[in-house]
Amino acid sequence: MKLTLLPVTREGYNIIPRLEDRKLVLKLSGTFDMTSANALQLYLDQVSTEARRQQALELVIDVVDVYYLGSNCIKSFVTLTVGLQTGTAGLLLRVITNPRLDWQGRAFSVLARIAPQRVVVEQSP
Amino acid sequence: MSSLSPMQPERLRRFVSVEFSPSSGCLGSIVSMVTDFCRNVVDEPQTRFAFQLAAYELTENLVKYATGEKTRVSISIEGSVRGPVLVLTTVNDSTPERLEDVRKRLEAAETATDPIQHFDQLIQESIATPGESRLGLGRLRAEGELLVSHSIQGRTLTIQVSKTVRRREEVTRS
Repeated sequence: MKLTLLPVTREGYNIIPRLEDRKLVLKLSGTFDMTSANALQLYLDQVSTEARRQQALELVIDVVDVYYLGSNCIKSFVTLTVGLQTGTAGLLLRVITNPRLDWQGRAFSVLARIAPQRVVVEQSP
Repeated sequence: MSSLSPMQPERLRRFVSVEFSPSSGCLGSIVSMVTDFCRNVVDEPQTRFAFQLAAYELTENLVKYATGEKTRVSISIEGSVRGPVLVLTTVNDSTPERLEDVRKRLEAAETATDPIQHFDQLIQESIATPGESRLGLGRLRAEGELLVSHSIQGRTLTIQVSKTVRRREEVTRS
């Protein structure tokens, strides 16, 4: 099934989606502060819809090249996690972090605390 | 700005301060000021990130909630008996309703004995509340491991976040 999500390129950040079998992958890069919060929330709403439409088994969010994530954007990921818990049976959310950016593990670990059976936060090799 | 090595407590004070009219357009400049300062005085990446986080979160709050034309952000490092302390300070005016709300949230963040548990509680409240996240102040303690303090005088709110940092030579040796 063709992916309906489009890549996003804005001043300061990018989001590149791709589909690998039944794995939906989002590659985020740049800085996600208050100026990008609304756009990120809208995009993640679409991701949630697309994951259901594709009957994806896994949603991979690669944040290796993300240099800052504001609290509004963390809330967007929290909303995504809660939505996936209730709307997509069996879907696993895998967050790939940069081992050289310790803050990423701390910031995204909150998602694993919300849904420990459905969220994995792991470092990029 | 210069590095702080070798340490001489009586000379150990550096600071940068800026007054501005809050708008999202100045966010990047304020954060750059803070991160450049930290890069010059601190070697620890985690501390640098903690203050970058604080600069973003507190300046975003200024943009959203400050009233009046002038707000102030300062970053300083000074000596103490425990070693050098890095301090980020914001000063702004706001409405009485807003000040009362932020007072409650600051006191909760400041007195939380387990900052991560406090942050998780804020997350749960945030799930039930559409709109703004209200996570930033809790995040400064949970993720940044920063001390947070505040004062309110009239309509003026002052927030300080601070951390005792290691001397450059200690970082080099460890």
